[in-house]
Amino acid sequence: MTFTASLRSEFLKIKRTSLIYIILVAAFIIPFVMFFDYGSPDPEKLANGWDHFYKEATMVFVFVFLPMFFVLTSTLLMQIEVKNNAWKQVLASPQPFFNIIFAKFIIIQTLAFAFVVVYNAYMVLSAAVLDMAYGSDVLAYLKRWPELLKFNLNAFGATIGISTLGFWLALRSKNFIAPIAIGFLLWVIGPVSLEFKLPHIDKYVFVLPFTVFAKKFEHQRLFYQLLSLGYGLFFFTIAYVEFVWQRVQFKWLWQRPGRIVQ
Amino acid sequence: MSSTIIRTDQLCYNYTKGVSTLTDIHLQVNRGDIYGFLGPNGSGKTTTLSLLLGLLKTQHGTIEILGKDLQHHRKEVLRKVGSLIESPSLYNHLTAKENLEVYREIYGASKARLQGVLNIVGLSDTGKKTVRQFSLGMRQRLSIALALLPKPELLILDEPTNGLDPAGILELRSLIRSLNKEEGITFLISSHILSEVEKMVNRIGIIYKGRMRFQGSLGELHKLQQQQSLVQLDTSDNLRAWAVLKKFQAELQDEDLVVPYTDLAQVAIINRMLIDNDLDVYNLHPRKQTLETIFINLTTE
Ligand SMILES: Nc1ncnc2c1ncn2[C@@H]1O[C@H](COP(=O)(O)OP(=O)(O)OP(=O)(O)O)[C@@H](O)[C@H]1O
Ligand SMILES: [Mg+2]
Repeated sequence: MTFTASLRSEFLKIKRTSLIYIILVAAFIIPFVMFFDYGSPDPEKLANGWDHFYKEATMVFVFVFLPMFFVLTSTLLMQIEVKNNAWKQVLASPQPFFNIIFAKFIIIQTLAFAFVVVYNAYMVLSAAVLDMAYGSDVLAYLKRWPELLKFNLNAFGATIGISTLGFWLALRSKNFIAPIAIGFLLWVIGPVSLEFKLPHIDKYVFVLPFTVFAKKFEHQRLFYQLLSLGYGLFFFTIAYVEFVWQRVQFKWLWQRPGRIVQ
Repeated sequence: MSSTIIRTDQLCYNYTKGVSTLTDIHLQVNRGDIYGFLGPNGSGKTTTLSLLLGLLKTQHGTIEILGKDLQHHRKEVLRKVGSLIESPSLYNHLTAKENLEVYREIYGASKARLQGVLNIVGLSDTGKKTVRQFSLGMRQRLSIALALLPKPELLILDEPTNGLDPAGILELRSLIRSLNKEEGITFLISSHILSEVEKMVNRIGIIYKGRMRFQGSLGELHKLQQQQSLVQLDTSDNLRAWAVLKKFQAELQDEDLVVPYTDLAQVAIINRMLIDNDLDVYNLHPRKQTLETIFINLTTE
């Protein structure tokens, strides 16, 4: 009846679902495009492009793919319960409400982590193949691993707010379309407002990943990480409170219901 | 240990404001009962059972299960309760074993227990087959296995015979009886067919349009049945006959005279009284109520 039991239960549920394949396929798209889009190596730079290969690709990955991944996988994860009429059995089992949804949230985070790792593996691989083809140093790219790691951690951190927002949308919706459509619309606001250079748009939850790449925000990295975490706590708290609210009268948290007349 | 397993008081519920689905439900299930919760479609059985499991938010009234208030002891209560509400809640992409494995540690059940419940419902040899490939009856059986997994003190089953073939229904019935007898499990079983549960339950609650119409032992329902049996009479002078049979609470209905009776000996006495009073009896028709007609009377306007 501990949290690990809830976590184990949630992990068992994703066995044989499309979630695993989504990771393998979606992570492949950018490295694939970059691979065939690659011109010849810049003679100015020794190893094949860090700025023009990895950073360019990963910006798209973190700004577009990762947010959409959170929205989509959260929805799919909740649909496992909805489709199978299984929510009622989950809720009739002796798990605290918090454990039920936090276990699901951990699943999403784990999947996202795997998504990032697989993406990086594909990138390293396609870079290595290109390096070999053009006779440059195959390991030059990998040798920058501390930078690579830091970069990825930053990117991951900047999406925590998005992940909990997507999670909340998926949790509260019974159907499949609504959370994806709303998630997509909320995301679109990001690039559009960036275009119009709206003030404070850099603090919008879906724009936070963008700050990881823009030179302009470099000195405020920590601020954006904390902001993302703040968004994360905020949306997760809302999701949790709403989840409990739908099932329990809050007044009973401090007040006993009337005693039964014998 | 309290002998009352479920007690609800003034339980009311409405899905939409102003339309009450349940009104003043007072359910009482005692330890060791097999309680049949009966009512026609849409009468509020599933709603009531969902409230008992905390699946719906209690709006009004109190629920006590296993001597504890559900709102304050949700986890403690649910640990000892197995349930099957409406359609099966199974993961189609998982096998029978995997479906139970999902809940095994949550209930602290052993691997042996898991195998045990699969044996009980006769699904131990489905191997790698996923639930998607199961028949309706197999799904129902697996749901029952899932409900049994926690070694519950109380089992709440909402129309458990749904989709089972006649042999399956008989099997389930004897399974319920033996679990009740040997493991002392208390059952709350809903159904819309009285005859289906009549042979195994000892207590009955009848709900109609969200209100309890009857609650009591099977014996009490039988008593009600006897009280509601009528003999229909036609004599040479019904008005005079009515006067003669006044003490039997005779009533004139249209052309006929109807008199309630409890056993056939009473019918004979009625007949003799009429003859002794020089009344010719043209027609004497005892209309015995069955449990089924009582049930229908209770669940129609
Ligand atoms: N989710 C819901 N939203 C609104 N109304 C509902 C909902 N679920 C049930 N109802 C209504 O509540 C009433 C009771 O429904 P309930 O499912 O409890 O009946 P039941 O006795 O279980 O019926 P059945 O024998 O068909 O399963 C019905 O009038 C139904 O229309
Ligand atoms: Mg029902």
